[in-house]
Amino acid sequence: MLKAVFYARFHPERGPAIVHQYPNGSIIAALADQDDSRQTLVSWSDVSAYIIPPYEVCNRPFSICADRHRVLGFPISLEDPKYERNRFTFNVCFVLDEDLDTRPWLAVVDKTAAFFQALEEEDGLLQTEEDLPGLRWAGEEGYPAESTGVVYKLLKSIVEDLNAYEETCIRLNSYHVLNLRLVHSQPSPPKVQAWDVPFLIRDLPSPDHWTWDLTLQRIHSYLDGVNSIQRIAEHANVELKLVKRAVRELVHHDRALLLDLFHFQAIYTPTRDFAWFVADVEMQEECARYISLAPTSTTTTNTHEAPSLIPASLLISLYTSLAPSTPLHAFVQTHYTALLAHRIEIRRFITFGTTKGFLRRVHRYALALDNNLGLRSETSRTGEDSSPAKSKSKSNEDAVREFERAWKRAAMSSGWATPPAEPPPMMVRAAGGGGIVGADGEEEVDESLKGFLDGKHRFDEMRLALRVSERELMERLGSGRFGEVLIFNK
Amino acid sequence: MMERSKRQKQRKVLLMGRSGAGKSSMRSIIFSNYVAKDVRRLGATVDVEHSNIRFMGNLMLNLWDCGGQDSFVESYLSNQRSHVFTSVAVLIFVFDVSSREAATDTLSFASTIRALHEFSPTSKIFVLIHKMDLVPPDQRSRVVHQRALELRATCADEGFASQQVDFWATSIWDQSLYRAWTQVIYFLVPNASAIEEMLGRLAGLLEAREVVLYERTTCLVVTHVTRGVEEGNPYGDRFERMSSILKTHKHSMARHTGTMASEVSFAELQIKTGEFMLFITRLTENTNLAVVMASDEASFNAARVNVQLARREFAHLDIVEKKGKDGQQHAKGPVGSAEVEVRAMDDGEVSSSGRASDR
Repeated sequence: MLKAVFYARFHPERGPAIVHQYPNGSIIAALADQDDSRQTLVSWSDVSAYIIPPYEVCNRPFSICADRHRVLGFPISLEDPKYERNRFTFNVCFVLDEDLDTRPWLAVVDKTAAFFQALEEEDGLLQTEEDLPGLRWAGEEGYPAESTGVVYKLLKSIVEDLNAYEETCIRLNSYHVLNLRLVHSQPSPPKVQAWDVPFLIRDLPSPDHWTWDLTLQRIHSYLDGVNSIQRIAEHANVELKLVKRAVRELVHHDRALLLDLFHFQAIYTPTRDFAWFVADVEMQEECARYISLAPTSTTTTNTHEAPSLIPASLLISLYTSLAPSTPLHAFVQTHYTALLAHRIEIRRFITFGTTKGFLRRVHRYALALDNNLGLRSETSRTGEDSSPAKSKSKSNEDAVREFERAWKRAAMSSGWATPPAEPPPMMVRAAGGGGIVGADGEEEVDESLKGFLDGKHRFDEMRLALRVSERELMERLGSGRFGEVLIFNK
Repeated sequence: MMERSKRQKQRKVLLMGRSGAGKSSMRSIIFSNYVAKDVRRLGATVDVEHSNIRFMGNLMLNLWDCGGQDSFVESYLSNQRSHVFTSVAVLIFVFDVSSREAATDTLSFASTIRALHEFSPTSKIFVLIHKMDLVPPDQRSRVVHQRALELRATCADEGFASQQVDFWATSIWDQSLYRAWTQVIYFLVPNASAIEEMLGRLAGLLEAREVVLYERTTCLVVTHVTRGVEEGNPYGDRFERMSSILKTHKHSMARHTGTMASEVSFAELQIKTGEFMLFITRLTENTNLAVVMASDEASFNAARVNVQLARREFAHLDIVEKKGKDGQQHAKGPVGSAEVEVRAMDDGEVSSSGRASDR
């Protein structure tokens, strides 16, 4: 909350003095209260040396803390022979609580200073204001003389609007307008990966109201909460990087969430926030409504029969039976009858949990024990390896990045070095591929798989990159071609 | 005040007065090589501006140029009282003679010296009645006299003896400014009488008519010795005129060589006429010597050489680092042995810190 704003100036005879303050009595005690022991926010004599500092330090932001308040200011010193003593120095200061986050305020202070500077440089409004006969200075009898001058009204609007609306638009005349807004910056959203699934939680504004960029226009129809980013990129025929960027924007503006890749080999487990779900009856009802499939016309014979809500106890028991040992297909088979009886949509069942935060996905990783040793020693790599072979041991995304970098490097080098002959084999695989390639493809897949076996890449990532099913992945890993492979869940 | 040790002597000088009286202008002309018409561009001083000015090598002036606005003066007299007024050697108080509020100015002066008496009762007060160029010439002495009388009474009221207070009328447009400040400097220079004594003997040996020692950067005359015929010189203010002329000369040199006024210097300046002959040359690292001789070529040249030889003896007046050498003692008759002999110049110019260039 903004406690006060004041306008101080270096007067040629009085020295540093406050001309205007809002609210009255905040820095210089109002005349009536001068004998009163009522505290002003800040002691003027303590801070005056910093509010009107030496000229060399002027024209930049300046703040000081005193009496548990912070005074943010931007002293401006205008040099011009027309002024008495050749200078006009002033400062518009904002008084806040000491422990308030100052980041949104710095821009406000800068902009206000620039505005006042323009007022004086262009129209000399500040100097002429002081020459007005009816003007009262802070602390004088009859302060504030609201009908005289513009500064007091400005300060008043600033304080009241910023406190009430966090923004203000003050129009002095046709060309002096002050627009201020407190912007609370959010942290930037995390990186989006190819295996994340974007899920829209709010509708996007219609194209009539809000111009969609090209990427969004192309991918919009695929944002259904089922397609992974990679699949969206393929189906919409848009470059992966652009899709990621667009989705990241959506996440940043709270219009989409990132989910994991849904498939029946996945494992889910409740988190500790589940206790919250158990206690919250409203959430249980919401859940019940969301996950039950609408009754089809063939099953409902009696139109008066309202669809019965799934009992909370059932929901709770279903969720709690999800455990790190249970892949989803096993869960469905165990509870098949219950799920069918209440027409529970399994995907929504899981999605509700993950979006609300009380269910989490357990990922699977693979670590090849002796392969890692091989990768670590640089000497094992001989120079005869051609670049495509090297890039095979990396993941698809790394390979793409490498390729682009190599192109850039070649383009920038003055001799135009020969760029890589062909893009890495991963990129070549078209969208319609899906299935496993022929016999030579096996080799390639195995090679690239090696790159993932460092325990840092989840199965989803591998499956997407290599376009293999989970079962096949397990087969390959268990085949012994990679030596001993440790598979663990996290 | 005259310490025996060789280390630098610090002197705190307060420069106070109403806002707009002319304090910063004076300071910039004397110490920063401003010309009178440049000072129009100066801004008001915000709070106190400190300058540390090295003078004659072993004197450090801590000059406090205090802003004269009401709120600053209030602050000096209240919460900064002891900080400002402790250990003051000299207070220079500037009155704007054209001020319409003479009574308020006097009151302000009274409060200031009251505070001064509290913390530095033995300090010296120089009152400068400034902007005299705004007073018609025929009224000048009357105005100054009146003001001085009034202010003397005030000083006496606040406990200062009359010999502690000096009055000077000044203006930046003529040499009166240099006169007043010369007096201030003369008061502050710690070994002024020792220098005078040596100069006296030098003048005798050179058979010079007049010998003037002045500080190189500010062109302020430190001291002078006048002998014989010259004592009848009607121009009593010739020393400050010299300061003024030399200062102007510096500026024109700067313009012609395209350098800063603070960097220009000359090795020697000679003026020869039918009536007299004058030369100005370096004496010590911080001072120049002007010697006025009769119009005789032989003694003129002999004097030049002898001054060069004498440099070494005067150098120790300037030296800061030499330990163990007492400032009061100096070799007797240093120049006597070399007086008439026109010896070949030796390039043993001893300078205290080894710097060969003039400042």
